[in-house]
Amino acid sequence: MSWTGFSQSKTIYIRGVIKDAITLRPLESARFKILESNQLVESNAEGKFQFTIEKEGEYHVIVSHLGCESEHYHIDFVSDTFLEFFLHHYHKHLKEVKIGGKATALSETVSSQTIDKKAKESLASVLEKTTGARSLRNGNIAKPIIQGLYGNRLTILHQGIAQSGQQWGNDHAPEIDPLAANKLKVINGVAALEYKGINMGAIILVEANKLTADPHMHGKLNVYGESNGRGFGLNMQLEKNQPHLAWRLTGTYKQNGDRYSPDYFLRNTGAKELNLSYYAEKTLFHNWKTSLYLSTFNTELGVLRGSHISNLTDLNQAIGREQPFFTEADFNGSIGAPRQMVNHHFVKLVTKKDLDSNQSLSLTYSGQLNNRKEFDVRRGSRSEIPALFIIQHSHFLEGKWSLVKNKTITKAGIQMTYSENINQPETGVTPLIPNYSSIEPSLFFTHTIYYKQSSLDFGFRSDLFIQNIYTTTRTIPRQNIEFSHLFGNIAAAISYSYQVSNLTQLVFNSGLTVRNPAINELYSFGLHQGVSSIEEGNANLKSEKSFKTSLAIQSRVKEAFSWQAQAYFHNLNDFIYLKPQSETRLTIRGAYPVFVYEQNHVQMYGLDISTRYKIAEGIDYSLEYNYLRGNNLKENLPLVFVPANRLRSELEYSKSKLGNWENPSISITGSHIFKQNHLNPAQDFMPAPDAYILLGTKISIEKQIQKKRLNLYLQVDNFLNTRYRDYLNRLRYFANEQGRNIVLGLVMNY
Amino acid sequence: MKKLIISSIVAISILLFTNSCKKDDHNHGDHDSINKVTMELTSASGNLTLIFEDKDGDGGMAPTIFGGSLKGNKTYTGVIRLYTYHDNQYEEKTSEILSEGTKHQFFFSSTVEGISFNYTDKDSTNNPIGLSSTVKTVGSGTGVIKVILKHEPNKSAAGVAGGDATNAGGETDAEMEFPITVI
Repeated sequence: MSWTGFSQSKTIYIRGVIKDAITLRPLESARFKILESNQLVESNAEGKFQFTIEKEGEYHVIVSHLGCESEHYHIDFVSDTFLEFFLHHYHKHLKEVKIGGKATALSETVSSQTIDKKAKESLASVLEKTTGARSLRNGNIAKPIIQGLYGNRLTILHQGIAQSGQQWGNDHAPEIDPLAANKLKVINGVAALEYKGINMGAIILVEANKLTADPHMHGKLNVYGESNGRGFGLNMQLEKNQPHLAWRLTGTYKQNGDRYSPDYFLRNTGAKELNLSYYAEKTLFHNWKTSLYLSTFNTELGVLRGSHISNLTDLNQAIGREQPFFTEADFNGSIGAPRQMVNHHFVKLVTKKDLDSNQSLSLTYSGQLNNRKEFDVRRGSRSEIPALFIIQHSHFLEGKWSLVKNKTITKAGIQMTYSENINQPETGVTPLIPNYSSIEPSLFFTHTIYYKQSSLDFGFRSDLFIQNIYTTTRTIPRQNIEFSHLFGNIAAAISYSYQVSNLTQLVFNSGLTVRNPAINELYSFGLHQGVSSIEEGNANLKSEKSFKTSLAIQSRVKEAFSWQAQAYFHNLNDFIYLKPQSETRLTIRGAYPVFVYEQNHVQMYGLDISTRYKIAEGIDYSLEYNYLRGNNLKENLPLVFVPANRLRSELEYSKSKLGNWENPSISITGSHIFKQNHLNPAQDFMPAPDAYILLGTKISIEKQIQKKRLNLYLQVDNFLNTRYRDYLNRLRYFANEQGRNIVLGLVMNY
Repeated sequence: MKKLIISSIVAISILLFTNSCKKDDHNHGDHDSINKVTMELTSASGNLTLIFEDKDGDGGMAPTIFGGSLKGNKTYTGVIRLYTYHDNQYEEKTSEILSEGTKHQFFFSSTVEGISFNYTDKDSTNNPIGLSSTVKTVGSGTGVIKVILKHEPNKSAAGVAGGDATNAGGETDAEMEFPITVI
């Protein structure tokens, strides 16, 4: 938005134009509303509007258009003013993919308004809104999968800092509250190189919105209730921009009890979450800004009681059952063993100085403390003592320099990470992961060049890993031993973007990444309770080398029809994976299959296509298809845990007004998840679940009451109460997925 | 400015490096795991102790198993004891099973024809535990006696109190096969 002052007079004339941020075409029937005087005007066919106000002063303004995110502004009107607004058609056409902007890489954003309406969801589920994103789950516990990568191969950046924690566990969810974050972004390509972490093609960015320039206290209240699990949640947000300090405070509380599959309660699937975050920005001197971000994430998660088993016989008995063991007839709101309790505390301090109009230097410190306890069903009242208790703390320091010129952007930086992972001895259980410390100095350089209709990005980063591992021998008598490793990782990427026309963009990405073996891949040792198998690390592993290349096209054929497609190919040499061994191991608890980390040559390739079509004014249809294949070449076997292909679509009908209400909309969504057929029967304990179709619906309506904006929504997930299981959920061996869920929610901005 | 940043990063990293983590926090074995189970079979005409020993638990060392021979057409009294191995010694855990009797049950079976098992103990809900039992032999033969210990079985499910593990659920704490010959 920009505004320019005209000459002064008592009655202030305000004129302006509202345009589409992407096509730059004027928007008709866009609404401009002043909250203080309750004045509302609509733009004409040229996108123009005008009106007058009788008093100079500060006003709150909302600009909205059908299918656009409403924008809030705080404007000081002292004289006649001309305003120019650019609105984003957020999910109607190309989601938030920018065309015509200076986009150099493909990225996709989940906006704060979308996150608000998914208040009950975890980070991974909210991310599923983006093209091709999936979740690897263990009931409540979900971690994101992007283009087939997850865990050690997918970095999640919380406020620009690599989320530390026990990322190795498939049943460890990222400890981040999407409601505190406001913005989720999946980025591909060179831009990812400036961040610490393993960048194998895509990374997830969890960011807070910029603080508003509004000096008044504003906030948001978000509440919901859900039928399945009898859950509810509350999120509050307050923010203010005082002259000396701008700040935002958010808090979230959520809870639910046992979820319900269409035929039975899923015993012990309750969850609780309490999160707080605080963000403050202060301008110290001219051109010198400092910001502080603090957050705490605390959760308790139940794990389906019937999934707590021991050996292969137990698993085979559980698989064949109509209902899981321990199923009870009544709802239970409490959480018992097996369960997880996780606290994650985060601090980030950034100070940034502009050296001149083009150059800036910034210094960042960030610290994280992750406290993870997992409780098993144990003998002798030890269920209250965690069977796994790890405290991990990590520290990150960064110095970054950036130079922005007319046609180029250059960034360079050095980083230092130190982390320590310590098992707490009171568990009385030999830890799966040893104690370790790791020092990781890194440096990076990225450069962007804009030339006419195209842009070129390239960059590299290099990380050193100095690891010290403190563990015990695997043989009796157990003795302390130490290991140390030194790994050097490099990553380089190039991306080229070409604006074919005003409405079509091509993006090519290619990157090489070396990833050192993670601690669990090197040293994990023991029984994975959940999976009825013994897992053994391999201290002789080499680094994994990955080469990924992708080509994306996004195009808006005409106003009513847009599409995007991304094809990618991923070649991984020395890919580290758990290989089942030919013989089972006899223990006093019976026979267990043994999995050892080994390396092999793996290839993955996939295609994501999405389209949007405006059938008529207010009626939109979208269709998306995701295809992915993975192969273990040397063994000539399909890769396991590759998401099954998916087809999903949404039909939405919306209007700008309904009586006194605004933006009423109703949508129906349908997803068809194919069966994962690309697997050998011998690769899993049971065949992959059948294909399934899920239907959902959502009704949403808004209303402005003085300075408050209300949004009410009603959402029904799994509308038909379909019985199904999903290949990416570990609970597929034990129970059906959740049945119908009715969610009623209210978001109020004030 | 840049020099300052570099030197401060180096300084802090040295500080962190020297302040490294505690090395002696390891556990020397599991207090939960069962590493040895014995079943003493006694009768007027002779005794036999079945032993299953697995000191390293999930580790790669093969367990040590002792079976033996029983006489035909005899009734033996069976008594089970369990031990955990940590800090290089055994600690008996039988009382832990007994005091949580409602949460545990042993299941017996044999591939030798005619061998039958009977529970001779009860938990507080009058359901069997199996720490004490009787073992009856009939003819002769060679095979195994299989003993399973379940944690939190559903003792009221069909057949469970009678010694059939099929509907028991729960988690297997021990599952052992002892080679035996009935002569």
